[in-house]
Amino acid sequence: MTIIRIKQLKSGVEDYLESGSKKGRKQHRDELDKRSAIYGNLTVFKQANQYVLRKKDWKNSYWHITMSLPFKYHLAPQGVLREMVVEILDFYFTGYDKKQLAAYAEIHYPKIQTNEKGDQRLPHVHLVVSKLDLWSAKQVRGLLYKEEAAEAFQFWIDDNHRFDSHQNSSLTESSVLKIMHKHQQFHLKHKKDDKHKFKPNKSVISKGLKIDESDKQNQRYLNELHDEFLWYQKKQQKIRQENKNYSAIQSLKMRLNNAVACVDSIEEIEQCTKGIDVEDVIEAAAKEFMLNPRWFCIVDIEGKKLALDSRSGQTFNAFGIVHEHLNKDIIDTIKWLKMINKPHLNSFIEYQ
Amino acid sequence: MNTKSSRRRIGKEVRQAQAVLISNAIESERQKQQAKQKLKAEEGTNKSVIKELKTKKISIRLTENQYQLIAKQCKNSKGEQLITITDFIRQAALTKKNTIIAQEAPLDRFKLAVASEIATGITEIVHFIDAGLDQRAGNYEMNDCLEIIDRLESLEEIASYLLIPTATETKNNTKQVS
Repeated sequence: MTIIRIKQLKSGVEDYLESGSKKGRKQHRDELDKRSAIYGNLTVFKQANQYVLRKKDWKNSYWHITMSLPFKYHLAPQGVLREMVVEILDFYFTGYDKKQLAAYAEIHYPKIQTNEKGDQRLPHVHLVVSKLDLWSAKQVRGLLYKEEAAEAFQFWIDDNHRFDSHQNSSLTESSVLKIMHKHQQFHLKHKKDDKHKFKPNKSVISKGLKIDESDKQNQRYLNELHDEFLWYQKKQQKIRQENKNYSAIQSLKMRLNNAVACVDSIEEIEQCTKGIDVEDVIEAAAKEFMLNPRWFCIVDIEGKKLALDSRSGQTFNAFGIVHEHLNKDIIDTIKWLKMINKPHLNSFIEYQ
Repeated sequence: MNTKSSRRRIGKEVRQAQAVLISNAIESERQKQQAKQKLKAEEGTNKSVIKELKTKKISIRLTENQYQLIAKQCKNSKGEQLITITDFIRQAALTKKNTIIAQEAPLDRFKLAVASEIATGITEIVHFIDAGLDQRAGNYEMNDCLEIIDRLESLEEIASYLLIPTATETKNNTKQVS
């Protein structure tokens, strides 16, 4: 069952996403999770949020929606999670064009495997949506929270992606559609469709383009603009440096780089899978990343020693455990495996 | 005549009186400080309690012409919204100022809307490629995909210029109401 939690807040989510700081937690985000942006652009969200804080006197300035899947779906592709994010936006912000919303989502893949209570940490998605309607400057009105509608949507989203849902639920495919439609219609009925009325005026931009360059005053003005442009460029570079990794492009780039690294390092990967005992890897991961070894049992399949995860029923070799469970990329996985098993691997490489 | 012992007694009495004065002064100063601290603490608690909530509602009806007049006053010469009608009415009713203090920055918001539209568009392209990779596992040209990523990144870089607030925006933010 997909768990979706919705909160409305005033400020602080950027810090939380970047540093991971919250009450009772000491680790930094980089120690805890691997971040992967899947929707929108963090800088756009930040600017929209700052606009609200500077110009509006609203109680809250954004929605913070978290979504997590049960452990057995922890290897769900990013594309599926991105689709789910879009579905959440479509449902909870019925009647809004996605271009009207400053939304941003990122996945947190856990590096440290268990939390303070000793439970397995799960990959989860943080979706943040600014309350600023970018077309009208009014407050975005999300769908009113009703338990019935939330439950129906959860059922629908699970069904849509073929995930197991509420086992004891009396809901059916047709009943959830009815409930969702009812709530969406109610929302649309009470929401005035004024987006075109308030769409920003483009004349401001187009008027600025008609410049007679032969005029001396205009030339001076253009020189000033050029200086201003250079100043902007400097400032822009700073903003770019700070937020370089936080746009949807980065998740795809990361995936492609991993695929390239996989092809380039195929021999090293084979050496790792053959030369390193999966039990040693689980032991080391338990020490360093709090991976709980009791979830795994060692099985022998066609002469290969593999770890069977009792929760998902999937088997992993030494490389798979690190790459899929500890969420390390290809290069880091090889490095870490070499580090924990240096003597064995060296002798193995020499033997090869 | 002052004998040695009487001088000593007088000295002792003076010293005692001085000591009493000093201790009184210290005591009164201490009381003053305590009173100040108490006052400060009370002010602090009052401040947190006093936060006024907007619970009262005023609604008025206007003719079409009156409404249009007010709506016009809330915009600049280019037709950009400087303040919402509600905020304008509140501001006009509660203050004696005849200027509109702009609460909106239309140009900044326009740029933000354009940047957001570009970010949404880029996300759609990314999703299209990502889904394609899932379906054609191993059977795709990675270099082409990386080339597309590079181009999208340069596009995004140019789009990020839109996110810098304009320096001139704040200068044009006030408008006289006739």
